[in-house]
Amino acid sequence: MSIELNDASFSYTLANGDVIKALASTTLTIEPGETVAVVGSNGSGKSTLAKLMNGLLAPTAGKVMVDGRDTADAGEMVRARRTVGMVFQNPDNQLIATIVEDDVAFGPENLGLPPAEIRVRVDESLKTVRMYEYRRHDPHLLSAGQRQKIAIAGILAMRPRYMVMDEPTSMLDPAGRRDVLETLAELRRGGSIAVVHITHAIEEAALADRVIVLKEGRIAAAGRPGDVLSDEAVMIDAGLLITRANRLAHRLAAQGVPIPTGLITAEEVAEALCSLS
Amino acid sequence: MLVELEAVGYTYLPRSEAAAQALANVSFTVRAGEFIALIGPTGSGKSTLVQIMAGLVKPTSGRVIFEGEDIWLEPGRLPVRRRLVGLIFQEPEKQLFEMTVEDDVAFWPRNAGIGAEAVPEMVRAALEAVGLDYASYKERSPFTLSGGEMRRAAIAGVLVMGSRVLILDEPAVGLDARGRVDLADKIRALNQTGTTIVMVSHDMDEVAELADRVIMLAQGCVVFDGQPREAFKQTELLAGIGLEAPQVARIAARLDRHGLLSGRLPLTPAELEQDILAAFGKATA
Repeated sequence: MSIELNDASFSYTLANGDVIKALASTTLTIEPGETVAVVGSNGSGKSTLAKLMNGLLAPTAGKVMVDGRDTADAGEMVRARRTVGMVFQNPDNQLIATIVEDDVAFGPENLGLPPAEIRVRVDESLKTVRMYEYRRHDPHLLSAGQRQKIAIAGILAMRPRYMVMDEPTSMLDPAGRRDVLETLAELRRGGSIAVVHITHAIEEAALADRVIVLKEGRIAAAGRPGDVLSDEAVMIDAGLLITRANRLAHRLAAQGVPIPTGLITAEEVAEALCSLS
Repeated sequence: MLVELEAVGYTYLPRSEAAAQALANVSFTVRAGEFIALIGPTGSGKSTLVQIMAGLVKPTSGRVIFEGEDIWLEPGRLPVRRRLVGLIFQEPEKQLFEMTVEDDVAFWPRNAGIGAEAVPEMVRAALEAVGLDYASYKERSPFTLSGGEMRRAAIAGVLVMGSRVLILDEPAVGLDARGRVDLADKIRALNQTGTTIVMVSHDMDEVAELADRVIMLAQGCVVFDGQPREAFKQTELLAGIGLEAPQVARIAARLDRHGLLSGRLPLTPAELEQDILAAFGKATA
C-alpha cells in the first residue's frame, strides 16, 4: 500500500512541435501516514508530480501505481482518484454549495453512500479541520483560510488514504496560512492519511517528515527537512533560498556560536539560542 | 507632497442593505522618494485603497490630492493626473497581450500620441529599469518569458508612462525564490533612482528589508503608520489583526524575553547577527 512512481515521466508537445519534459524518470514512494513536502522553483515539475499521483495525468513513460493500481489504466485511474484527494491553491475554485455542510457532503453523496454515513463523515471531517461550528454558514462569507479548510474537509469526507495539496497556503494571508498549517499538523498527528504538501514556503516544508526538492523535472535532493532545506548549495542550484533563520544559524555557527545548522524555522533557531545561554 | 489622502472613506453599495464599509477615515501623505509598505490582513481594504490612491476608484467620502490638486474636482483632467501614479495589479503578467515585449511596453506611448521616433528609447529605458536587456528581449513573445520576467515586462509597461509613484499590489505573489529576490532588487533600485514606491505585501521579511515606512490597515482603518522597526515591535497589534512578524523580529522577540538582547530590537538579519554575537561574547570584526 503506497503511491509508487516508477521511472515515471510526463512530456507534452507544444503547438510548435517542441517537446517539454515536465517530469523526467522519477522514482518515488509515498508511504501511508507520512507527510512529504515537495519544493522546487516555478516550472520544476511540482504540479505535474501532484497530478500524476492522483491520476489526473497518466505518465507518458514509466508507471504510477496507487495502492497497486496502475493509473494508466482508465478504470483503475478512477479508483486511484478516490484514494488520492487533491487540494488546490484557490479554495474558491473548489467550493460549490452555499452551506458549509452541503459542500463537504458533495463528495460522499457522489460516492452513493447512505445518508447516515454521510452525516457521520461530514461531522467528523468538519471537526478535524475545526470548522464544525460553522457547518450551517455560507462558505463564501468565511475567510479564505476557513474556505480552504472547508475544501480540505470535503476531501477528508471521501476518506482518501492520501491527500495531495498543491500550494494550499499560497493565496492566504498569514492568519489563513496558520489555520491551514494547523490542520496539516493535525492530519500528521492523526497518522491515518498521507499528505503530499507542495509549497513555495521553505518554513512550511520544514514541518514535514520528509522533503523532496525538484529541479527541472527531476529529484535534486530528498531527505529529512533539517538536512535538505539547510543545504544552501542544493537549494540555490534548485532556484530556492534557505530561510533567513537558517542563514543566521549558518553564520553564527561559522563565527563560533555552537548552534546546529539544520534549524529551519525562526522558532527553532530562537529556541536553540535560548537553550545555549 | 505627491499624494495626499484626506479622510478617505469607501462604502460598497451605499444606500443598500448590503452596504459594506471598506475604508473609513483614511488620511496620510505620500512624500517624494519614500518606500511605503502597506500591510494588513485579507479584507482590510488594501486593494480598495491602492485603487483610490491611483485615481481609479472615487472615494465615497474624503479627498484624494495629487501634487496639491483634488483629482476628482475636475474629472476632465483625470487621465493626465493619473499618470503621476502607476498601479501594478496582482499578477500583472495576465495583462500582457501583444506579440512582442516591445509592442507590449510601447502600447501606452503609441496610444498617447507620442512621436514614433521617441518610443523605442522610452521602451528601452522602461525595460532596463526592470533589468530586461532591450536588445535581447524586445523581439520575444512575452509568453515565452519566465514567470519573473513576464512580471517585470508588465511592470515596464506601467513604468513607461513616467509615473513618479509606483504602487505594487503584492508584486511577488506566485513567484519562486529567485524571482522574488530579483524583483525585490529591481523595486529597491527603482526607489533608489527616485521612484516613490507603495508596495502591498504579505511577506513581512521583505517589508522589513525594503520599506522605510509601514502603514498597517485593519478593517478599513489605518492602525499604524511609522517606521518598520516600530511596526514590528507591535507584536500584540500584529497578532490581533492576524499578521505575522518577520523571521528576524520573531527571533529577536524570543531572545529579548529570554534576556539575551539589550537595547534596540534588531530589524534586519545583519543587525540580529551582530546583537547575538555580542550576547554570546563573540565580538564582530
